[in-house]
Amino acid sequence: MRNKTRIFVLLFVITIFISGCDLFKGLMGTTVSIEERIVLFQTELNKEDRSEIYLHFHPDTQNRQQIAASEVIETGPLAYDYQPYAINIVSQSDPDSAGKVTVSCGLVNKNTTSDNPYDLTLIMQEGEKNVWYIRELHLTVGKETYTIKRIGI
Amino acid sequence: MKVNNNKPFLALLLLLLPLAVFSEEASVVYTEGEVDIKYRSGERWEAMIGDLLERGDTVITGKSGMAEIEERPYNLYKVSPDTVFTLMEVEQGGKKQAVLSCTLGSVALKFEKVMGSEPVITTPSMIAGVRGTELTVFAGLDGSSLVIVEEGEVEVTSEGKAVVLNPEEGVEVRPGEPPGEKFRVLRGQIDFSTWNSERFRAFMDDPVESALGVEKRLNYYIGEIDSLLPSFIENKSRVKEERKKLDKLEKEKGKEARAEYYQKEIFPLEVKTSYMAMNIRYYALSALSLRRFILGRMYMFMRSLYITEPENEIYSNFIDVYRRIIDAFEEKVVPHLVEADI
Repeated sequence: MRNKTRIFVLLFVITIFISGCDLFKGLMGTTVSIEERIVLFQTELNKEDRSEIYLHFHPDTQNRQQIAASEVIETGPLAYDYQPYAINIVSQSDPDSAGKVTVSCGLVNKNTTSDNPYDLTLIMQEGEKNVWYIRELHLTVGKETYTIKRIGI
Repeated sequence: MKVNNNKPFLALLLLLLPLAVFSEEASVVYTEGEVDIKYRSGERWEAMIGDLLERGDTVITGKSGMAEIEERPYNLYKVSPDTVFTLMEVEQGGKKQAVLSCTLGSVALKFEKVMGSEPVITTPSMIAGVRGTELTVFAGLDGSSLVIVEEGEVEVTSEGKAVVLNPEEGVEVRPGEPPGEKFRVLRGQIDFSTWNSERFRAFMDDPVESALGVEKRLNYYIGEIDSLLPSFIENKSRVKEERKKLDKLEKEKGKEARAEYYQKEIFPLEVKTSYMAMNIRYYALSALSLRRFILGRMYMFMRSLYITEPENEIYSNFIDVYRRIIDAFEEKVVPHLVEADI
Protein backbone atom coordinates (compact mmCIF):
# COMPACT_ATOMS: atom_id res chain seq x y z
CA MET A 1 0.00 0.00 0.00
CA ARG A 2 2.86 2.34 0.96
CA ASN A 3 4.58 1.55 -2.34
CA LYS A 4 1.43 2.40 -4.26
CA THR A 5 1.20 5.75 -2.47
CA ARG A 6 4.85 6.50 -3.28
CA ILE A 7 4.30 5.68 -6.96
CA PHE A 8 1.19 7.87 -7.02
CA VAL A 9 3.08 10.79 -5.41
CA LEU A 10 6.00 10.31 -7.82
CA LEU A 11 3.67 10.31 -10.84
CA PHE A 12 1.93 13.40 -9.50
CA VAL A 13 5.27 15.25 -9.12
CA ILE A 14 6.36 14.20 -12.64
CA THR A 15 3.04 15.42 -14.07
CA ILE A 16 3.41 18.78 -12.33
CA PHE A 17 7.00 19.05 -13.60
CA ILE A 18 6.07 18.22 -17.19
CA SER A 19 3.08 20.53 -17.30
CA GLY A 20 5.23 23.41 -16.03
CA CYS A 21 7.96 22.81 -18.59
CA ASP A 22 7.89 24.73 -21.90
CA LEU A 23 9.36 21.75 -23.71
CA PHE A 24 6.16 19.83 -23.13
CA LYS A 25 3.86 22.76 -23.72
CA GLY A 26 2.51 21.12 -26.87
CA LEU A 27 1.92 17.85 -25.04
CA MET A 28 0.30 19.18 -21.91
CA GLY A 29 -0.59 22.80 -22.70
CA THR A 30 -2.85 24.45 -25.23
CA THR A 31 -3.36 22.76 -28.54
CA VAL A 32 -5.05 24.39 -31.50
CA SER A 33 -6.19 22.17 -34.33
CA ILE A 34 -6.62 23.44 -37.90
CA GLU A 35 -10.39 23.62 -37.48
CA GLU A 36 -10.09 25.43 -34.14
CA ARG A 37 -7.67 27.97 -35.62
CA ILE A 38 -10.05 28.74 -38.45
CA VAL A 39 -12.95 29.22 -36.02
CA LEU A 40 -10.77 31.51 -33.87
CA PHE A 41 -9.74 33.47 -36.96
CA GLN A 42 -13.38 33.84 -37.99
CA THR A 43 -14.25 35.09 -34.47
CA GLU A 44 -11.44 37.63 -34.73
CA LEU A 45 -12.67 38.88 -38.12
CA ASN A 46 -16.01 39.62 -36.50
CA LYS A 47 -14.55 41.76 -33.71
CA GLU A 48 -14.40 45.51 -34.10
CA ASP A 49 -11.05 45.55 -32.35
CA ARG A 50 -8.89 43.97 -35.03
CA SER A 51 -5.58 44.32 -33.22
CA GLU A 52 -5.33 40.60 -32.49
CA ILE A 53 -5.90 39.17 -35.97
CA TYR A 54 -2.15 38.83 -36.32
CA LEU A 55 -2.07 36.21 -33.55
CA HIS A 56 -3.63 33.67 -35.89
CA PHE A 57 -0.73 33.83 -38.35
CA HIS A 58 2.36 31.66 -38.06
CA PRO A 59 4.77 33.11 -35.48
CA ASP A 60 7.98 32.21 -37.32
CA THR A 61 7.10 33.37 -40.77
CA GLN A 62 4.80 36.30 -40.31
CA ASN A 63 5.68 39.62 -38.86
CA ARG A 64 2.74 39.46 -36.52
CA GLN A 65 3.19 42.85 -34.92
CA GLN A 66 3.38 44.35 -38.37
CA ILE A 67 0.11 42.74 -39.41
CA ALA A 68 -1.51 44.16 -36.31
CA ALA A 69 -0.39 47.65 -37.23
CA SER A 70 -0.52 47.36 -40.97
CA GLU A 71 -2.73 49.38 -43.25
CA VAL A 72 -2.90 46.35 -45.51
CA ILE A 73 -5.52 44.72 -43.30
CA GLU A 74 -7.41 47.97 -42.79
CA THR A 75 -7.60 48.85 -46.48
CA GLY A 76 -7.93 45.25 -47.69
CA PRO A 77 -10.97 43.03 -48.20
CA LEU A 78 -10.99 41.69 -44.62
CA ALA A 79 -12.20 45.00 -43.22
CA TYR A 80 -14.57 45.16 -40.26
CA ASP A 81 -17.06 46.95 -42.52
CA TYR A 82 -17.81 43.60 -44.14
CA GLN A 83 -18.70 41.59 -41.01
CA PRO A 84 -20.32 39.23 -40.16
CA TYR A 85 -17.78 36.78 -41.55
CA ALA A 86 -18.42 33.04 -41.75
CA ILE A 87 -15.80 30.53 -42.90
CA ASN A 88 -16.82 27.02 -43.92
CA ILE A 89 -14.25 24.33 -44.59
CA VAL A 90 -14.85 22.58 -47.91
CA SER A 91 -11.83 20.29 -48.15
CA GLN A 92 -8.46 19.71 -46.58
CA SER A 93 -5.25 18.24 -48.07
CA ASP A 94 -2.81 15.87 -46.42
CA PRO A 95 0.32 17.55 -45.02
CA ASP A 96 3.02 18.13 -47.65
CA SER A 97 6.74 17.50 -47.12
CA ALA A 98 7.05 20.79 -45.23
CA GLY A 99 4.11 19.89 -42.98
CA LYS A 100 1.76 22.36 -44.64
CA VAL A 101 -1.93 21.61 -45.05
CA THR A 102 -4.02 23.35 -47.69
CA VAL A 103 -7.56 24.06 -46.54
CA SER A 104 -10.14 25.15 -49.12
CA CYS A 105 -12.94 27.18 -47.60
CA GLY A 106 -15.92 29.28 -48.49
CA LEU A 107 -16.03 32.76 -46.99
CA VAL A 108 -19.30 34.59 -46.55
CA ASN A 109 -19.51 38.23 -45.49
CA LYS A 110 -21.71 41.25 -46.04
CA ASN A 111 -20.78 41.36 -49.73
CA THR A 112 -21.68 37.77 -50.53
CA THR A 113 -24.67 35.53 -50.41
CA SER A 114 -24.46 32.22 -48.55
CA ASP A 115 -25.10 30.29 -51.76
CA ASN A 116 -22.26 32.11 -53.51
CA PRO A 117 -19.33 32.35 -51.06
CA TYR A 118 -15.83 33.57 -51.96
CA ASP A 119 -13.05 30.99 -52.37
CA LEU A 120 -10.69 31.20 -49.42
CA THR A 121 -7.56 29.04 -49.37
CA LEU A 122 -5.65 28.83 -46.12
CA ILE A 123 -2.22 27.20 -45.98
CA MET A 124 -1.83 25.99 -42.42
CA GLN A 125 1.30 24.94 -40.57
CA GLU A 126 2.18 23.98 -37.01
CA GLY A 127 4.04 26.56 -34.94
CA GLU A 128 4.55 24.78 -31.66
CA LYS A 129 3.67 21.09 -31.44
CA ASN A 130 -0.06 20.62 -32.12
CA VAL A 131 -0.64 24.36 -32.45
CA TRP A 132 -1.66 25.23 -36.00
CA TYR A 133 -1.45 28.67 -37.56
CA ILE A 134 -2.33 30.31 -40.87
CA ARG A 135 0.77 30.58 -43.00
CA GLU A 136 -0.80 31.92 -46.18
CA LEU A 137 -4.23 33.31 -47.00
CA HIS A 138 -5.62 33.54 -50.55
CA LEU A 139 -9.02 35.13 -51.05
CA THR A 140 -10.47 34.98 -54.57
CA VAL A 141 -13.26 37.31 -55.58
CA GLY A 142 -14.24 37.03 -59.23
CA LYS A 143 -11.06 36.62 -61.23
CA GLU A 144 -8.74 38.33 -58.77
CA THR A 145 -7.01 36.93 -55.70
CA TYR A 146 -5.93 38.75 -52.57
CA THR A 147 -2.98 37.16 -50.83
CA ILE A 148 -1.56 37.55 -47.36
CA LYS A 149 1.70 35.64 -47.30
CA ARG A 150 3.48 38.43 -45.60
CA ILE A 151 2.50 41.93 -44.95
CA GLY A 152 5.03 44.10 -46.70
CA ILE A 153 7.62 42.37 -48.86
CA MET B 1 29.84 -11.52 -40.53
CA LYS B 2 30.54 -8.05 -41.77
CA VAL B 3 27.91 -5.48 -40.81
CA ASN B 4 27.17 -2.72 -43.28
CA ASN B 5 27.27 0.40 -41.09
CA ASN B 6 26.16 2.60 -43.96
CA LYS B 7 22.67 1.12 -44.09
CA PRO B 8 21.06 3.30 -41.40
CA PHE B 9 22.70 6.35 -42.93
CA LEU B 10 21.48 5.47 -46.43
CA ALA B 11 17.98 4.81 -45.12
CA LEU B 12 17.97 8.21 -43.42
CA LEU B 13 19.27 9.83 -46.60
CA LEU B 14 16.51 8.19 -48.64
CA LEU B 15 13.94 9.42 -46.15
CA LEU B 16 15.29 12.95 -46.21
CA LEU B 17 15.88 13.15 -49.96
CA PRO B 18 12.26 13.83 -50.93
CA LEU B 19 12.16 16.63 -48.36
CA ALA B 20 15.10 18.30 -50.07
CA VAL B 21 13.91 17.72 -53.62
CA PHE B 22 10.35 18.84 -53.12
CA SER B 23 10.98 21.63 -50.66
CA GLU B 24 8.76 24.60 -51.48
CA GLU B 25 10.77 27.16 -49.54
CA ALA B 26 14.22 28.62 -49.65
CA SER B 27 16.26 26.74 -47.11
CA VAL B 28 19.71 26.78 -45.62
CA VAL B 29 21.57 23.74 -46.96
CA TYR B 30 25.06 24.50 -45.66
CA THR B 31 26.64 26.75 -43.07
CA GLU B 32 30.16 27.29 -41.87
CA GLY B 33 31.35 29.68 -39.18
CA GLU B 34 29.20 32.55 -38.02
CA VAL B 35 25.90 32.68 -39.94
CA ASP B 36 22.73 34.34 -38.65
CA ILE B 37 19.23 34.72 -40.03
CA LYS B 38 17.38 37.93 -39.32
CA TYR B 39 13.71 37.13 -39.76
CA ARG B 40 11.17 39.70 -40.83
CA SER B 41 9.76 39.53 -37.34
CA GLY B 42 12.95 41.26 -36.24
CA GLU B 43 14.26 38.18 -34.47
CA ARG B 44 17.83 37.13 -35.19
CA TRP B 45 18.94 33.53 -34.77
CA GLU B 46 21.99 31.48 -35.58
CA ALA B 47 21.37 29.74 -38.92
CA MET B 48 21.13 25.97 -38.90
CA ILE B 49 21.07 23.60 -41.84
CA GLY B 50 17.43 23.02 -42.77
CA ASP B 51 16.21 26.45 -41.62
CA LEU B 52 13.47 27.75 -43.90
CA LEU B 53 13.66 31.26 -45.32
CA GLU B 54 10.91 33.41 -46.72
CA ARG B 55 10.78 36.72 -48.54
CA GLY B 56 11.96 39.39 -46.17
CA ASP B 57 14.41 37.18 -44.29
CA THR B 58 18.10 38.15 -44.30
CA VAL B 59 21.18 35.93 -44.11
CA ILE B 60 24.11 37.64 -42.38
CA THR B 61 27.54 36.00 -42.41
CA GLY B 62 30.43 36.94 -40.15
CA LYS B 63 34.11 37.25 -41.09
CA SER B 64 34.58 33.50 -41.24
CA GLY B 65 31.00 32.56 -42.03
CA MET B 66 29.52 31.23 -45.23
CA ALA B 67 26.20 29.70 -46.18
CA GLU B 68 24.43 28.05 -49.06
CA ILE B 69 20.74 28.71 -49.67
CA GLU B 70 18.65 26.53 -51.94
CA GLU B 71 15.44 27.87 -53.41
CA ARG B 72 12.95 26.17 -55.69
CA PRO B 73 13.39 25.17 -58.44
CA TYR B 74 16.84 24.17 -57.19
CA ASN B 75 18.40 27.64 -57.38
CA LEU B 76 21.54 27.87 -55.29
CA TYR B 77 22.94 30.98 -53.61
CA LYS B 78 26.43 30.81 -52.05
CA VAL B 79 26.77 33.54 -49.46
CA SER B 80 30.39 34.55 -48.76
CA PRO B 81 31.86 35.84 -45.49
CA ASP B 82 30.89 39.33 -44.29
CA THR B 83 27.75 39.43 -46.38
CA VAL B 84 24.21 40.69 -45.90
CA PHE B 85 21.82 38.92 -48.29
CA THR B 86 18.02 39.35 -48.27
CA LEU B 87 15.24 37.48 -50.07
CA MET B 88 12.63 40.04 -51.03
CA GLU B 89 9.52 40.42 -53.12
CA VAL B 90 7.99 43.37 -54.90
CA GLU B 91 4.75 43.79 -56.83
CA GLN B 92 5.11 44.68 -60.48
CA GLY B 93 2.24 44.95 -62.90
CA GLY B 94 -0.05 42.99 -60.61
CA LYS B 95 2.44 40.15 -60.18
CA LYS B 96 4.91 39.47 -57.45
CA GLN B 97 8.56 39.68 -58.46
CA ALA B 98 11.31 37.92 -56.54
CA VAL B 99 14.15 40.23 -55.53
CA LEU B 100 17.50 39.01 -54.21
CA SER B 101 19.28 41.81 -52.42
CA CYS B 102 23.00 41.75 -51.61
CA THR B 103 23.55 44.82 -49.45
CA LEU B 104 27.10 44.00 -48.48
CA GLY B 105 29.59 41.25 -49.32
CA SER B 106 29.31 38.69 -52.06
CA VAL B 107 26.83 36.10 -53.30
CA ALA B 108 27.30 33.60 -56.12
CA LEU B 109 23.95 32.78 -57.69
CA LYS B 110 23.19 29.74 -59.78
CA PHE B 111 19.77 29.44 -61.39
CA GLU B 112 19.09 25.93 -62.60
CA LYS B 113 16.23 27.16 -64.70
CA VAL B 114 15.08 30.74 -65.05
CA MET B 115 11.30 30.76 -64.64
CA GLY B 116 8.76 32.92 -66.49
CA SER B 117 9.01 35.53 -63.75
CA GLU B 118 12.73 36.27 -63.68
CA PRO B 119 14.32 37.26 -60.38
CA VAL B 120 15.90 40.65 -59.94
CA ILE B 121 19.15 41.11 -58.05
CA THR B 122 19.85 44.36 -56.26
CA THR B 123 22.76 45.93 -54.42
CA PRO B 124 22.95 49.43 -52.95
CA SER B 125 24.11 50.72 -56.34
CA MET B 126 22.44 48.68 -59.08
CA ILE B 127 19.64 46.38 -60.24
CA ALA B 128 20.39 43.28 -62.33
CA GLY B 129 17.77 41.45 -64.36
CA VAL B 130 18.69 37.80 -64.69
CA ARG B 131 18.35 36.11 -68.03
CA GLY B 132 21.34 33.95 -67.29
CA THR B 133 21.96 31.12 -65.00
CA GLU B 134 25.21 31.74 -63.14
CA LEU B 135 26.60 34.97 -61.80
CA THR B 136 28.35 36.49 -58.81
CA VAL B 137 27.39 39.77 -57.19
CA PHE B 138 29.75 41.73 -54.96
CA ALA B 139 28.62 44.65 -52.81
CA GLY B 140 31.50 46.72 -51.45
CA LEU B 141 31.96 48.61 -48.22
CA ASP B 142 31.47 51.91 -50.02
CA GLY B 143 28.20 50.84 -51.68
CA SER B 144 29.88 49.93 -55.00
CA SER B 145 28.89 46.75 -56.81
CA LEU B 146 30.59 44.30 -59.09
CA VAL B 147 28.67 41.82 -61.22
CA ILE B 148 30.43 38.91 -62.91
CA VAL B 149 28.52 36.60 -65.30
CA GLU B 150 29.65 33.04 -65.79
CA GLU B 151 26.76 31.68 -67.82
CA GLY B 152 23.77 33.28 -69.55
CA GLU B 153 23.00 36.99 -69.79
CA VAL B 154 22.46 39.67 -67.16
CA GLU B 155 21.27 43.23 -67.62
CA VAL B 156 22.73 45.59 -65.04
CA THR B 157 20.88 48.88 -64.56
CA SER B 158 21.78 51.95 -62.56
CA GLU B 159 20.76 55.59 -62.83
CA GLY B 160 18.62 54.82 -65.87
CA LYS B 161 21.42 53.23 -67.91
CA ALA B 162 21.80 49.54 -68.68
CA VAL B 163 24.69 47.27 -69.61
CA VAL B 164 24.14 43.72 -70.87
CA LEU B 165 26.72 41.23 -69.68
CA ASN B 166 27.50 37.96 -71.42
CA PRO B 167 29.50 35.02 -70.05
CA GLU B 168 32.91 35.95 -68.63
CA GLU B 169 32.05 39.62 -68.57
CA GLY B 170 31.79 41.92 -65.59
CA VAL B 171 30.92 45.48 -64.71
CA GLU B 172 31.47 47.73 -61.72
CA VAL B 173 28.82 50.17 -60.54
CA ARG B 174 29.69 52.99 -58.14
CA PRO B 175 26.89 54.25 -55.88
CA GLY B 176 24.82 56.91 -57.57
CA GLU B 177 26.52 56.38 -60.97
CA PRO B 178 25.57 54.49 -64.14
CA PRO B 179 27.36 51.15 -64.79
CA GLY B 180 31.01 51.52 -65.84
CA GLU B 181 32.61 49.96 -68.90
CA LYS B 182 32.16 46.22 -69.00
CA PHE B 183 35.31 44.12 -68.91
CA ARG B 184 36.41 40.57 -69.68
CA VAL B 185 36.96 38.29 -66.72
CA LEU B 186 38.07 34.70 -66.44
CA ARG B 187 36.65 32.28 -63.90
CA GLY B 188 38.17 32.79 -60.47
CA GLN B 189 40.15 35.81 -61.62
CA ILE B 190 38.36 38.29 -59.37
CA ASP B 191 39.17 38.08 -55.68
CA PHE B 192 36.37 39.75 -53.76
CA SER B 193 38.53 40.59 -50.73
CA THR B 194 41.07 42.38 -52.96
CA TRP B 195 38.30 44.26 -54.77
CA ASN B 196 36.64 45.15 -51.48
CA SER B 197 39.96 46.38 -50.05
CA GLU B 198 40.37 48.54 -53.15
CA ARG B 199 36.87 49.92 -52.68
CA PHE B 200 37.64 50.59 -49.03
CA ARG B 201 40.81 52.46 -50.04
CA ALA B 202 38.77 54.44 -52.56
CA PHE B 203 36.33 55.30 -49.77
CA MET B 204 39.15 56.43 -47.51
CA ASP B 205 40.65 58.51 -50.35
CA ASP B 206 37.37 60.37 -50.84
CA PRO B 207 34.83 59.59 -48.13
CA VAL B 208 32.64 62.54 -49.09
CA GLU B 209 32.24 61.26 -52.65
CA SER B 210 31.25 57.80 -51.32
CA ALA B 211 28.75 59.34 -48.92
CA LEU B 212 27.29 61.39 -51.78
CA GLY B 213 26.83 58.15 -53.75
CA VAL B 214 24.92 56.66 -50.80
CA GLU B 215 22.84 59.82 -50.59
CA LYS B 216 21.96 59.51 -54.27
CA ARG B 217 20.83 55.90 -53.77
CA LEU B 218 18.81 56.81 -50.70
CA ASN B 219 17.18 59.60 -52.66
CA TYR B 220 16.23 57.04 -55.29
CA TYR B 221 14.41 54.94 -52.63
CA ILE B 222 12.80 58.06 -51.18
CA GLY B 223 11.79 59.10 -54.69
CA GLU B 224 10.07 55.74 -55.22
CA ILE B 225 8.27 56.05 -51.86
CA ASP B 226 7.27 59.62 -52.69
CA SER B 227 5.96 58.59 -56.10
CA LEU B 228 3.84 55.78 -54.60
CA LEU B 229 2.60 57.65 -51.58
CA PRO B 230 0.12 60.07 -53.23
CA SER B 231 -1.55 57.20 -55.16
CA PHE B 232 -1.62 55.10 -52.00
CA ILE B 233 -3.23 57.89 -49.97
CA GLU B 234 -5.70 58.57 -52.80
CA ASN B 235 -6.54 54.87 -53.13
CA LYS B 236 -7.01 54.55 -49.39
CA SER B 237 -9.45 57.43 -49.47
CA ARG B 238 -11.23 55.95 -52.52
CA VAL B 239 -11.58 52.60 -50.74
CA LYS B 240 -13.25 54.42 -47.84
CA GLU B 241 -15.62 56.31 -50.14
CA GLU B 242 -16.51 53.25 -52.23
CA ARG B 243 -17.29 51.22 -49.13
CA LYS B 244 -19.84 53.85 -48.09
CA LYS B 245 -21.74 53.29 -51.35
CA LEU B 246 -22.29 49.59 -50.69
CA ASP B 247 -25.01 49.87 -48.02
CA LYS B 248 -26.91 52.43 -50.08
CA LEU B 249 -26.72 50.24 -53.15
CA GLU B 250 -28.00 47.20 -51.24
CA LYS B 251 -30.92 49.18 -49.87
CA GLU B 252 -31.88 50.49 -53.30
CA LYS B 253 -31.07 47.58 -55.60
CA GLY B 254 -30.62 44.55 -53.38
CA LYS B 255 -27.92 42.15 -52.25
CA GLU B 256 -26.97 40.93 -55.74
CA ALA B 257 -26.22 44.49 -56.88
CA ARG B 258 -24.04 45.02 -53.84
CA ALA B 259 -22.08 41.78 -54.47
CA GLU B 260 -21.58 42.68 -58.12
CA TYR B 261 -20.42 46.23 -57.39
CA TYR B 262 -18.03 45.03 -54.72
CA GLN B 263 -16.51 42.39 -56.99
CA LYS B 264 -16.13 44.69 -59.98
CA GLU B 265 -15.20 48.01 -58.38
CA ILE B 266 -14.01 47.69 -54.82
CA PHE B 267 -12.16 44.39 -54.47
CA PRO B 268 -9.60 45.18 -57.24
CA LEU B 269 -9.07 48.59 -55.63
CA GLU B 270 -8.46 47.03 -52.22
CA VAL B 271 -5.97 44.53 -53.66
CA LYS B 272 -4.15 47.32 -55.52
CA THR B 273 -4.01 49.48 -52.39
CA SER B 274 -2.57 46.73 -50.22
CA TYR B 275 0.08 45.92 -52.86
CA MET B 276 1.02 49.61 -52.93
CA ALA B 277 1.60 49.40 -49.21
CA MET B 278 3.86 46.38 -49.88
CA ASN B 279 5.95 48.33 -52.37
CA ILE B 280 6.32 51.29 -50.06
CA ARG B 281 7.59 48.87 -47.45
CA TYR B 282 10.03 47.38 -49.99
CA TYR B 283 11.71 50.73 -50.64
CA ALA B 284 11.67 51.67 -46.96
CA LEU B 285 13.41 48.42 -46.03
CA SER B 286 15.96 48.84 -48.82
CA ALA B 287 16.71 52.32 -47.47
CA LEU B 288 17.04 50.86 -43.98
CA SER B 289 19.65 48.34 -45.20
CA LEU B 290 21.59 51.10 -46.94
CA ARG B 291 21.56 53.25 -43.84
CA ARG B 292 22.39 50.40 -41.48
CA PHE B 293 24.99 48.41 -43.37
CA ILE B 294 26.67 50.93 -45.68
CA LEU B 295 26.29 54.38 -44.18
CA GLY B 296 26.55 53.06 -40.61
CA ARG B 297 29.89 51.40 -41.37
CA MET B 298 31.20 54.44 -43.18
CA TYR B 299 30.32 56.57 -40.18
CA MET B 300 32.04 54.19 -37.75
CA PHE B 301 35.23 54.14 -39.84
CA MET B 302 35.30 57.92 -40.12
CA ARG B 303 34.54 58.46 -36.46
CA SER B 304 37.35 56.13 -35.36
CA LEU B 305 39.78 57.61 -37.85
CA TYR B 306 39.15 61.24 -36.92
CA ILE B 307 38.42 60.77 -33.22
CA THR B 308 41.34 63.01 -32.29
CA GLU B 309 40.71 65.65 -34.97
CA PRO B 310 36.95 66.24 -35.25
CA GLU B 311 37.59 69.64 -36.85
CA ASN B 312 39.30 68.04 -39.85
CA GLU B 313 37.80 69.38 -43.08
CA ILE B 314 37.30 65.96 -44.71
CA TYR B 315 35.57 64.66 -41.59
CA SER B 316 33.39 67.77 -41.31
CA ASN B 317 32.35 67.52 -44.94
CA PHE B 318 31.58 63.82 -44.52
CA ILE B 319 29.52 64.54 -41.40
CA ASP B 320 27.56 67.23 -43.27
CA VAL B 321 26.52 64.71 -45.93
CA TYR B 322 25.93 62.04 -43.27
CA ARG B 323 23.58 64.34 -41.33
CA ARG B 324 21.74 65.26 -44.48
CA ILE B 325 21.19 61.56 -45.25
CA ILE B 326 20.05 60.83 -41.70
CA ASP B 327 17.62 63.77 -41.75
CA ALA B 328 16.10 62.60 -45.04
CA PHE B 329 15.93 59.02 -43.72
CA GLU B 330 14.17 60.11 -40.54
CA GLU B 331 11.70 62.28 -42.38
CA LYS B 332 10.86 60.11 -45.38
CA VAL B 333 11.67 56.50 -44.49
CA VAL B 334 11.12 56.03 -40.76
CA PRO B 335 7.33 56.69 -40.97
CA HIS B 336 7.09 53.53 -43.10
CA LEU B 337 9.08 51.32 -40.73
CA VAL B 338 7.81 49.47 -37.73
CA GLU B 339 9.52 48.72 -34.46
CA ALA B 340 10.44 45.19 -35.50
CA ASP B 341 12.39 46.48 -38.51
CA ILE B 342 14.63 48.54 -36.27
